[in-house]
Amino acid sequence: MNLLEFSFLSGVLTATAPVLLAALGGLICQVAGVFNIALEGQLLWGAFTAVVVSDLTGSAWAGVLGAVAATVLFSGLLSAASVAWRADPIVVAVGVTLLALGLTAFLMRQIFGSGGTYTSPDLAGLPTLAELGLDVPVLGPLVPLAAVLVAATAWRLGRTRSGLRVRGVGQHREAAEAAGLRAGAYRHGVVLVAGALCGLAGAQLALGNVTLFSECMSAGRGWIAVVAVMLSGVLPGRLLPACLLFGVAEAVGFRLQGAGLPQQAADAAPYVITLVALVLAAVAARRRAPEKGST
Amino acid sequence: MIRRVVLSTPVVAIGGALLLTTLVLVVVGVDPAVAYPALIRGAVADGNLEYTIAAFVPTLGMAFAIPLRAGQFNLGGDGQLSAGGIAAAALALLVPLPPVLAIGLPLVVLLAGIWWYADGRTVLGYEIRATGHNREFARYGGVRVDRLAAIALAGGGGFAGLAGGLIVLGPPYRFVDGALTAPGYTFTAVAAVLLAAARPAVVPVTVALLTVLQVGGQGMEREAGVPSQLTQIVQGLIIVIVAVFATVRGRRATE
Amino acid sequence: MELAAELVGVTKRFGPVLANDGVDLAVARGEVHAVVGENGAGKSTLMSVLYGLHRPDSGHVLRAGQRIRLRSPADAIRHGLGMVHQRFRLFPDLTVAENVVIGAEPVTAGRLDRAAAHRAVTDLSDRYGLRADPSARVGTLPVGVRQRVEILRALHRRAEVLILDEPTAVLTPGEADRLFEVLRTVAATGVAILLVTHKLTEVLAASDRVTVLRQGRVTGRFTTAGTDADELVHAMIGRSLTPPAPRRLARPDGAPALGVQDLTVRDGDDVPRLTAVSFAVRPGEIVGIAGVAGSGQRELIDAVTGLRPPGESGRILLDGLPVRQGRDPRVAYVPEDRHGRATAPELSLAEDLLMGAQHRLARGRFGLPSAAVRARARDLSERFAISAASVDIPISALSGGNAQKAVLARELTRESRVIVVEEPSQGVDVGVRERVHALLIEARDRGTAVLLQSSELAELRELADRILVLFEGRLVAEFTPDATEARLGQAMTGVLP
Repeated sequence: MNLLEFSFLSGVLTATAPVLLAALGGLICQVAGVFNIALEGQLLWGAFTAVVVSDLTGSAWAGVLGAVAATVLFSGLLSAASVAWRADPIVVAVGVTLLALGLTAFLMRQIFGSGGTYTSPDLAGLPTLAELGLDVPVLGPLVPLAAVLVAATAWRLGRTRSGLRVRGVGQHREAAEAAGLRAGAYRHGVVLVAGALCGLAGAQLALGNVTLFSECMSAGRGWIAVVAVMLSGVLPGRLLPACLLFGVAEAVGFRLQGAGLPQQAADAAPYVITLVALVLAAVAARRRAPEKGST
Repeated sequence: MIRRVVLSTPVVAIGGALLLTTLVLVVVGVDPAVAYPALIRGAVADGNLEYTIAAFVPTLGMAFAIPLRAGQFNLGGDGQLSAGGIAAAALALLVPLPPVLAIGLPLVVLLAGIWWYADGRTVLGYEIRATGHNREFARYGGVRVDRLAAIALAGGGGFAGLAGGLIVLGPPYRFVDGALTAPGYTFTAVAAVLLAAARPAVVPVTVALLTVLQVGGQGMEREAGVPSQLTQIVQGLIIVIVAVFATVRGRRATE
Repeated sequence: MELAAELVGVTKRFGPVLANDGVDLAVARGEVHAVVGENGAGKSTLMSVLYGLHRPDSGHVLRAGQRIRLRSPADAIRHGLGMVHQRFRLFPDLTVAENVVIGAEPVTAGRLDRAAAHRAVTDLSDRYGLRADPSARVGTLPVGVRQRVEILRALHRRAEVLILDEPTAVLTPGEADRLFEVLRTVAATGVAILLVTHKLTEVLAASDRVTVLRQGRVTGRFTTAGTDADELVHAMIGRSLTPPAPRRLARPDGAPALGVQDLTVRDGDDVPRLTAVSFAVRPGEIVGIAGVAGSGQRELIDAVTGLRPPGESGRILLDGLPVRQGRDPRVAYVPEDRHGRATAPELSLAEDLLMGAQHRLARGRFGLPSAAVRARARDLSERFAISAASVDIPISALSGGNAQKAVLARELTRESRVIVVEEPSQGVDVGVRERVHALLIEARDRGTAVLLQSSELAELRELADRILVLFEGRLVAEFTPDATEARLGQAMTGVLP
């Protein structure tokens, strides 16, 4: 296989993974009827805590676990505000995202003593699959895990008891309660699971895609994930096109930067391309809908 | 009694946010007795007050840009702010304009006054509030809600552009990359408007409060070595607390 | 007689409204026990207490002689209680089988066992004659079948006490008869059935015993075989069914104030909701609109008031001129949905009363003096006996009856030639109901044309000078107010030509 092509493909998959994991978290919330648009904040917090724990312990795996645990904890605030107290999801998302921005930048200065970007030889990045003894170079272990999790989520939601209940809670809260389900508990649960997935996403971003933390490094990936969820029709498999599109655009932008494109343009490219494509897709879908008649 | 309920949200939000901030300070090993005076000095001491006002003006301008009163959210503020900044810079190249501190503060204070009057004492203000509280009620009452929402959004965009212009025309009198969006005027304005429940008489107060916090944060960083990002944390906490209290109060009112 | 469940001394208050006041009710195994009362008598609240949806302020529940605590429907289900709600609690996008088993799903090797779920539905269907396709999506089913799904779910959970809240409200007379047969079969297996209704014919036809509620209290207990309609009515409304007070007849005169000509309205899926509807309302008469819920009332009223976006055919004329889109100011309108449409709950009473008069009160081009706004609100509060601590408190702090009086005050003082009223006495007490009726009669006698929609036939017969019946979006009959409820009911369900 042509190394150049393969490295491009792995670049695409690597860029896709964090967005896909975060979007999966958002999708689970959506299925249970929780409008979670705080993915950006959860993702950033996951990236930061992954770097802190990895730096302290010297173990990337500890970083991954730490990010998952810390982001679940952080999501407790989100679930308390938006599920228990039923606060406006948009306002809460703004607050939580701002809080994540502030907390990471603040703690970064407290812990690492400087702002901007932090990297260090002590900071352990995730190994590639090749280093783990598998015959696949370059890719990190969380990338295939993301794909596996998408399939597992689809199975869980569609085929199991808990999946049916989560879908029920999302469709009609009163009906779920009348059927004896504790709707609130399921909704808290999905927000925390989304936290775990965003923790993984953050770990992949900060320890897999690169090995560093910089302020605002989520850079809108959480918002892209929100859009992917909205376009997915809450089917996990349908997250893939939007997330892969972003991955391709980012990988292309990275290549073009190598070819002399200004950095700002390369940075903006994946977002512009993804959003334009997604808006076009949404418009096309809406055009098609009336022709098909009623659903 | 009603008055007490209305007042309680900002009080609880600010109190809660201060409490949590103090907790953060203590956890990271900073004496709050050092940090808070440094914060106040950083905002209002000689020479610093000018910066506080310079930040207050565009933030208040941005606060007008958020049509929460009409039940709408406008989070595209940064883009509009930049557009206004670019336009103002272009205009300034063609037409000589007076320095902004001379006109900026009086201008936004005047606008705040007009806004307060329009909100409480005009048909347009009434219809905007009715739409914000219950869109279907306004539609039922014969208000042309779509037109009104468009007016509110467009007006908001205009104010955001104005705020951008005021920043560019202020010190250091040039279009600096990142100067418009980096200080987070939009987020600060969102926090202030939420905190004031969009009541026009209260918005300038909450904007002033958060601006002092933000500018003072830099003083605190210089004097006490506390990263100024602390102010972002406080704002985030305020927004979450306000969101929670607004719904808890709303539910109590309807039950 | 073996008691399946008892409510003992149940009291429940909602703000100023005492919904249940020391209610005792016992239901035995194998009986069909009717709970009757007028709208607002406290039947639904009582059943919600029994199903764990509301917690009583005092009193408790016994199940098979044991005191139980009900904090949620989950508790109730665990104690063998099942409920069929008036507004179905079903998942529209799930299948019949999924709706039936959810909460007690058959699981094999970690997976939902769909085959077992389908079998469970088919078994129960066959045993009780409740036919439903297990793989059909519930959202696509007619209401009668949806109700069966709710019953199947309760049976799947092995309910020993089955509560049905106004089950026939959505059924045709034929379907209702079928339902009663099913209930008989279920009761024969030892299940206790509580049948909540306000229709006496059903009580007499389908129950073994009856408990009557009025204004939150038990006013009668009977065995069905030993009572009759007169006795039940007396317990329900506190007086015998004498003809209502002699009504002053309408004296409609002149050309129609409201004319509806050949109105057809289609919904987003191009399904006709109203078909070729024509009628007129003259000044000085009240025309009632009757129909089973969802027969086109909503579409008709939205069209008449101008609130429905264009896309309909036919004409609506006010004094001969076409209605204006986006709410015609020439029509006063009292909507059914008090919180969603008729008020903005968080605005003050004064501001809620202002809607529609804001331009009239404005001074010059811009000013809207708050003194004038509040003075007008105080004046209306006095004239319409709205009791509120001040006109500055949010309207949501008022009781339902006072909020309704406020809406009426605002709309009746618009001085419109036409007033459209939906469900004017829903959720208000008897006193307010009488006041509301008096106000509508007054408006009529002043020469206003009144279009009245109500799901309460008694209300229509009391107020309306003519009653038009909507069935599946068509006007199918017109009655004088002395028509019997039976005949009206037949027309509403498409039985009568």
